[in-house]
Amino acid sequence: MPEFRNPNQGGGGSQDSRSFLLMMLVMLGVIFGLQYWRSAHNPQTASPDHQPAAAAPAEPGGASSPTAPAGAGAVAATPALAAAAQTSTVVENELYRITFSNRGGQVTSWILKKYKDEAGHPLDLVHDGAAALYGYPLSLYTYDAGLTNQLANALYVASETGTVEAPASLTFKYAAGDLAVTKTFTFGSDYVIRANTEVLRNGVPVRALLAWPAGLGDMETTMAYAGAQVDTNEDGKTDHLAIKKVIGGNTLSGSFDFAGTSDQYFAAVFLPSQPSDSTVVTFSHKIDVTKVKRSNITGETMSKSNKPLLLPVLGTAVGALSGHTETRIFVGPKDVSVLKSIHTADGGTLEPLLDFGFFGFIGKYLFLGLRAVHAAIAPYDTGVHNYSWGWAIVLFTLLIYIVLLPLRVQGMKSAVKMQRLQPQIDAIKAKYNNPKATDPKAAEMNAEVMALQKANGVSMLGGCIPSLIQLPLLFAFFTMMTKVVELRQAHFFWLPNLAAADPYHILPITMVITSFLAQYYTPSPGVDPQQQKMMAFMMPAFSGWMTWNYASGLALYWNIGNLVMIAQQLAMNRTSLGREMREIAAQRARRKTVPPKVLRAASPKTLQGKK
Amino acid sequence: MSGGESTARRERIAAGLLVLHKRVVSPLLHVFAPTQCKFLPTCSEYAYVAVVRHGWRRGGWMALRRLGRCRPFAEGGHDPVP
Repeated sequence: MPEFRNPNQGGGGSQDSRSFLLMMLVMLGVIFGLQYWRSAHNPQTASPDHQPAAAAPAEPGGASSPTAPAGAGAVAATPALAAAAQTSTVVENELYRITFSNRGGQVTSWILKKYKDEAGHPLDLVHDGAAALYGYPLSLYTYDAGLTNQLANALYVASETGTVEAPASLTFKYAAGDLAVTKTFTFGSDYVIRANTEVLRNGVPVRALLAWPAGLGDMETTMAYAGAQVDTNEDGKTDHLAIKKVIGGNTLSGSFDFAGTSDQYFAAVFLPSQPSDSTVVTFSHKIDVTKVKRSNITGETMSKSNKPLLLPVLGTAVGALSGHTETRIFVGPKDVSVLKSIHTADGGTLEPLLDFGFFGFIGKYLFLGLRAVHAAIAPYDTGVHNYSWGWAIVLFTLLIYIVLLPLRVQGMKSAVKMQRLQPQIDAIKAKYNNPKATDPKAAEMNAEVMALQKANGVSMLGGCIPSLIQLPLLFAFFTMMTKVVELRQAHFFWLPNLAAADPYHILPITMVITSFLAQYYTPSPGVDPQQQKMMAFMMPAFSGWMTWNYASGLALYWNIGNLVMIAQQLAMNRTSLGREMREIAAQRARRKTVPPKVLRAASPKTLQGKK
Repeated sequence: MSGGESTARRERIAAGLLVLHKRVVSPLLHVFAPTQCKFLPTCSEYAYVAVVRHGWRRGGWMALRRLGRCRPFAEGGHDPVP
């Protein structure tokens, strides 16, 4: 919080310019040290020794050639019911194109038609490299590794082959020896599919869970891998487990309304038909992305060197305790309107999947506001590959600052009044001759200063309200930027993606300049000059540092905010109050006849004074 | 408040904390939002004086209560440490 100038300088702070310089150096060290620390703790450089003991759900034959979509290993059984050859079935609707293989009756490709990967192709959510190692989506997981392996590699008899348009239903059947397996999937027009699976051994159900075992979503950059999490909702309470908290092969028991895996923007979530009968298994693996590659993306490889680069892939499996698994599966974007439309068995929705972080309740409404602005300026354009979201951010920021304008004008007015009183306050402080803060005389002095302010109608009613509003707004914006799928790949002039850092660092650099100007033009009367100097340096540096590697949308918001503040201040300076204030500041700057000891305590060396 | 030596130490530590706050924490907060204090002495100075005068526990508690007093629509004004 800002301080009135304390003539005592905090009772112990050395204040010559040398210590100030040292202070600045320490600050620089801290800032760049943090920057280094942050890059060092990037998952890219995470130590490989931290590998959770994961129970691999499946180790299909052909794992040695992970790029092969389906392992070449065959199950040497004499099945009573099995297909003779490998076939594939494609199920399509307006939103997705899912490719099933009859080997394992599982998914080899899950394309979301409305989203694109970095290269501009339709986005495939399946990491086929990881899937070949740890299991494909919608495979079955049992607590018996041999059985899991058999279920994943058997050639099922598919009810349909070729391309099928949803609404549709697809059944895979397989029987061998005492084993009989049925997997039925039903497709509609939305992102949700229904699954009904049963594994019988001698007619008795075996607990088999439907799995999305390893990796999901973008997975083209280390950041995308790092964004993976496991989401569960138990009796209305949602939990987001970060990578480090997910234990491979761990079984969670409880009454799950939904459970699944998600990354920054997409989710694959199971919604059991009977939450009370549900059980969840979580998977966590580390894959060396220099070896385990995705064949379904064409973007450049992440690591140019041959050093192993271990990145996490998470997964979940959900089933029924009874053995007969009935569940719906949502696989799609974490788009608020989509998530809201999907109801769990207990009447909730998937909305809590979208986690806006600590200031979530603000972030949510902030985003709804941003979306409303976007809807107003681009009503027919729901795509994300356009300029409209950038403009929406600009307009929305302007709107916020217009709403906050009365508050700011109030603040500026009281600042001017303060400035006007400053010579008298300086005089009072000189009279008391720089008492220690603990000195009773300091209290007397403060009382006199306060009385003077009251008499002249300086009201500090604003107090910390501006920061109470602006701080949460900024943090809410901060988290919102990287969470909402609408901003994914949203272009804006030179910015390829508002949710990613500015590749040319134009916005952060502009930010440093605008922050400096905003604070240069804003008067802060009574603030300790040392502190003021510190601020003049810290504010631009810190804001630049914060936005350097962060979503450019935030830098855009912040920049526009700074520009508005500068404009407001310049307008304010042109009013009679503003002119008067500058005159006072100039007078105080000229006044250098004060004795040195008092000068330090009361010198008006503010930035405004230098103007 | 036992013995001159511990009191002096407390005073030194409190002064150090106050300087740290004014040089680092407060400017950082200003990055996000420019604000003004409604009390004199400011909360940080109040905390320093309270700790020096009343010890860590009582002084700290007094400082917390002072922070609680700084809220929207509070009067503000001169509010010295008792």
